[in-house]
Amino acid sequence: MEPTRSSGDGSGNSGTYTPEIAESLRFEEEIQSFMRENTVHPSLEPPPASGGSSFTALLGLPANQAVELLHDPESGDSPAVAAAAAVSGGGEMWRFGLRDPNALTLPSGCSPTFPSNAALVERAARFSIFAAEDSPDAASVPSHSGDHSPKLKAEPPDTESQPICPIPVERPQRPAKRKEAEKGNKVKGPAKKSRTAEEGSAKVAEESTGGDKLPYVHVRARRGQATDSHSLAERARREKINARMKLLQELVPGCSKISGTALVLDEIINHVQSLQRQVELLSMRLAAVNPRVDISGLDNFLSAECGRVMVGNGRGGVWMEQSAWMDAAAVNGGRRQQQQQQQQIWHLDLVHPHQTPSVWERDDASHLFTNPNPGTSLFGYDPASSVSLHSNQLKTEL
Amino acid sequence: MSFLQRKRAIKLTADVAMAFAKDGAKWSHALIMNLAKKPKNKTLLRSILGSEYERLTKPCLSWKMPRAKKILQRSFKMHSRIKKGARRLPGVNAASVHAEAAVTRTKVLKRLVPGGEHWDNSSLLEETLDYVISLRAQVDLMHLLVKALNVPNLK
Repeated sequence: MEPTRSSGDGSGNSGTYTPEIAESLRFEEEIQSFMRENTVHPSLEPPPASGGSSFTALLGLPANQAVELLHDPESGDSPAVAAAAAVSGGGEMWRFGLRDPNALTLPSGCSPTFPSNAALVERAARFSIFAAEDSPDAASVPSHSGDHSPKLKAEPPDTESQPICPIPVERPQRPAKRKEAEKGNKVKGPAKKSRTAEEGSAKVAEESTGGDKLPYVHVRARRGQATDSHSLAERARREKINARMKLLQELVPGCSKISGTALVLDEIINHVQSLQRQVELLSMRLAAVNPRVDISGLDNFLSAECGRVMVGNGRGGVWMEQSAWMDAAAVNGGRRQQQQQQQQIWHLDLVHPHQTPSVWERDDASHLFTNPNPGTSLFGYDPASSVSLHSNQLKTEL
Repeated sequence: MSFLQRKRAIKLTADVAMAFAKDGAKWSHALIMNLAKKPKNKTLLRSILGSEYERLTKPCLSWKMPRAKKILQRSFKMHSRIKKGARRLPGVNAASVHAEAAVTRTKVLKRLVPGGEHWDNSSLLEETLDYVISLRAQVDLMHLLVKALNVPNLK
């Protein structure tokens, strides 16, 4: 709600600056509360007061918020549940996805350095969330976020004077070239110690156009490097690719020691392939979980697994299986009636075994279940007797 | 409902859930489109996505590389090739081997990430990053599910 409101604000007024400051201060408080909760990357915590740092705080918030929101639905749901939930409450998860672009528009409106930064900080924030589960990565995350913080902190003193003036002018216009210029500046920032003739000319050109909208890409050249536009653009692209490669290296376990693009790419490819294979394997294991009660020909399967499955499940597990069966039945041709029948039979099976139709009354084993209550029937089962019940039931049905 | 059918259905729902949860990325859109192409998956996809089906399966050209950019890239490559060709020493260079290795691996990566063939190098890397993160979350989730349902390990 806040990002959409503030982005509405940002787009609404064209000239004044104070609403932005108010919004940024509000965001700052939110960010600090987020930072306090999220103890994994303390290095991105902004210092309380200055105007420049509030922009970096703005960076932190949307990334964090988006990541937190992204993390919650994923950790809370199963694929089947998510699929089932997507039909009814799909707007919720989708809203999370929508929040992401919304959350990022405000920072891009406030300061020109954001678009490039936001992507990287978002990655860094994501590492921290996922690294909380994954211990080998936890060591790399603080170093990684620590790596970013000098860059981020070096920026506010650099750009602090600038954003405050050009913002009212720049916000209506956002040419891509301006992004390039600032990004180029940010990338060259740590390396701009030396002064040569080439650097001098580039710097002069930048200062002359000062705070207005820059139609050209003004990049500070490093010592001893050519300044023609082709090589500059090339260098910007290469820096971008190298930065992303670094992030990937930190993500894939065991890649930070390897030097050289080809080997790192090798590792990344292996990692992606192994993850995809794991997904296949796990989906096979999940498919082996449960049989339907009324399917003929699954005798062995049932006797081995059904008892264990039913005893071990709580309500949530029961529901998940239900939705998994629902999906599988839809593949079968979408025969809804059959689905519901199956669900009913299964549901009745678990909850009221002694009340089901006459099929079971013919059984001798039915008298074993004297009075199971709906709540306790799952746990009141004796695995052996339930197994025998089902095998008997199958025999009578067939 | 055969075993393989069930496994395919589960994998499908898992992929759709993963792609749906990350709607801001290019690969998610591409994944859903790839899944929607096969006629086998259509009914299941429709039942899962519900109202979102039409919106997501509309081919959206905004993230594919526009033709002008492709022409520019091609001409730039020719240009740099001409420049390098004049300077290249005969025989096998370490630099050229390195470059070729990177190119072949990039091609492999493009095949792995859904929809990767259309993007340029830097966005490919970015989407790979995204994709790896989501895949890892997916795998963790499925592990938890397996543990929760106490799936017996038949050996």
